[in-house]
Amino acid sequence: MKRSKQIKLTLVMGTTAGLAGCSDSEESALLFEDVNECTSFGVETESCLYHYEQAKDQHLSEAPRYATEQLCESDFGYERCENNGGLWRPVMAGFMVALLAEAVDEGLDAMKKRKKRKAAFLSGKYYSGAKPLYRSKDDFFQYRNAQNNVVSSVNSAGTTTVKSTSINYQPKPSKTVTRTKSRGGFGRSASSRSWGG
Amino acid sequence: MPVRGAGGDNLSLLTVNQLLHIMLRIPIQPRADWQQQANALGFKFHTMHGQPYWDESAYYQFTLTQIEQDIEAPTQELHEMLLFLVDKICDDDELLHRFAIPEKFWSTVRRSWLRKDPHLYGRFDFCYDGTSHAKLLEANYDTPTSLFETAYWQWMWLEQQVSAGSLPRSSDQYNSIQEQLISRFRHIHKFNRTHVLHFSCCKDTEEDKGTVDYLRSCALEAGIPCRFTYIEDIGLSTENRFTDLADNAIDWCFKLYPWEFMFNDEYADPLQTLSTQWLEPAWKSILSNKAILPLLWQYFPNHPNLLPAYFSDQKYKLDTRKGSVKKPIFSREGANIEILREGQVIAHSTGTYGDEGFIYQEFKALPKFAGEHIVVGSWMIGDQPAGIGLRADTSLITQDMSRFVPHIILG
Repeated sequence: MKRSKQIKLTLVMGTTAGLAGCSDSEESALLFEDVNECTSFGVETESCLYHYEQAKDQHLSEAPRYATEQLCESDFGYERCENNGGLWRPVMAGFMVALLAEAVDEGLDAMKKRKKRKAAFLSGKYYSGAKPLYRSKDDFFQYRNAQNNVVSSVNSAGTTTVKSTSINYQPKPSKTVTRTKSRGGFGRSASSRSWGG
Repeated sequence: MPVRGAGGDNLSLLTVNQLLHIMLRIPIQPRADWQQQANALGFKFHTMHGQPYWDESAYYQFTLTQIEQDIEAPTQELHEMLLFLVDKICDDDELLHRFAIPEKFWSTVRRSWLRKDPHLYGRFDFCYDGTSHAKLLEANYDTPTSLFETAYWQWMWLEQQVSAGSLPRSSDQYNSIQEQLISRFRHIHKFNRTHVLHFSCCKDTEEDKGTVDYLRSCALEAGIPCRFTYIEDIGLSTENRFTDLADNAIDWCFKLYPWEFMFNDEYADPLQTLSTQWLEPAWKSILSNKAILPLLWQYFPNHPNLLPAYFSDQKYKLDTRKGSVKKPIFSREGANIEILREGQVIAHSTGTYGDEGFIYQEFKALPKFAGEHIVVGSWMIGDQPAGIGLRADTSLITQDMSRFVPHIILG
């Protein structure tokens, strides 16, 4: 046979690549600036440390990266950037843990009753992983995730609701952010001519 | 001599086909819903400038021997001849001059060749009537188009016409282009494991966007992460890298845009120094160039698949009785071509090319079937011949208005 055995189109032509629409439902999450804020909220220190470390790991792979400190600071502010492996990243300004609704209720119940079962909040079956949070220079009182989406105000430490897309995003390897200084340097030769072949 | 098929009685046609070694044009009922199917796929350029571009009111029938001996084998051989010449030309300053490649890009082109930058595809245009040797009219090795309609759409046509019983079950097609494209993308991906492949073409052209989307579809199939950016939207970053509209660095880029244009654009200077990997690679600038035709004739004189061709300083060597074709070195889509016979211009096309010089090729009339002239476009994917697409035009010069017609192999 001289032809392809089976073929299909992965992409409909003439469309721009876009993600399938994600539903923007609300989800409960815990947002903390650091381990201290976490423990003072009543979560066991061990649990706070564990999630902090997990978010820190995500931070290293997901945080926006910049080629120079200057570029990074222009987004995140003076001395709000750190160097790692030659690239600049904003400092992690906080971390969040997604919760199932019943876990929140259970945890709040426990708090109200002042029982020592607060750590139920963060027991394995309730959370869906910790994520890093950032605060940018121009929008300093909002937490943003590594995808630069606003998550919540920094004042809503502890339990809050966030959009599910801002916490359940697919972690993607971050790109090194650059600044484009000019555009349109290609294409002029084509505008006056027909070509192809 | 080509014979116009009458259609209907396939058995007697088959015999004629095999006995006389001709190719046949056979009328067939178009699929009732092909336009809807095309629109659903996003194949919007099936009708261009109000004229049909895809024409399935007839198909061309070849024998397997014709395909394998007369088209596939010469395609492989010509490809190897071209690569041999790239090596010669890269080593020769005078030839690089003749190819009108700006001197400041010589090292870019040479480096890309010496590094063996992988390439994706190319297309030869043949004059072939089914009886005599296919003759090379030109090689489109930088920005060949009509890929989607050849690789996918023509294949679907065959599949559906066979299912509907309009074509015999044993019908085949010389067309493994899509399979080979995907495997070629997989292969090239090995050299660029960590990179996203950007696809790029100019704005305001449905045909180019269609071709690029089709290629992107194949690359996705091969597991390559892809993005799309228009050529005009490409930017330059403060760190001296090309960027897309979202400021992502472009490290690896497929461009449906000729190298000779890139050499003359505003970004020509950064282009020389930046490490972006291009598809097609810079060494392809040598092969999209009509100057390759006289070089082929010089190195492989009297090769059965070549027509005599010369630069203007030696055009007197052409037989004036046979006529000659004058082609600008950078001509595309049949622009600025002149066909001369016994001192008379018998056909010409307009355009804006020619400042870079001309080459002269012996005239060979395209075979004519039912009033249409046929050009056979034979594709190379990587270093493998992969399939053909046929273009039909009422004029002797095939331009972008010509129709695309399907083919089958039978017998």
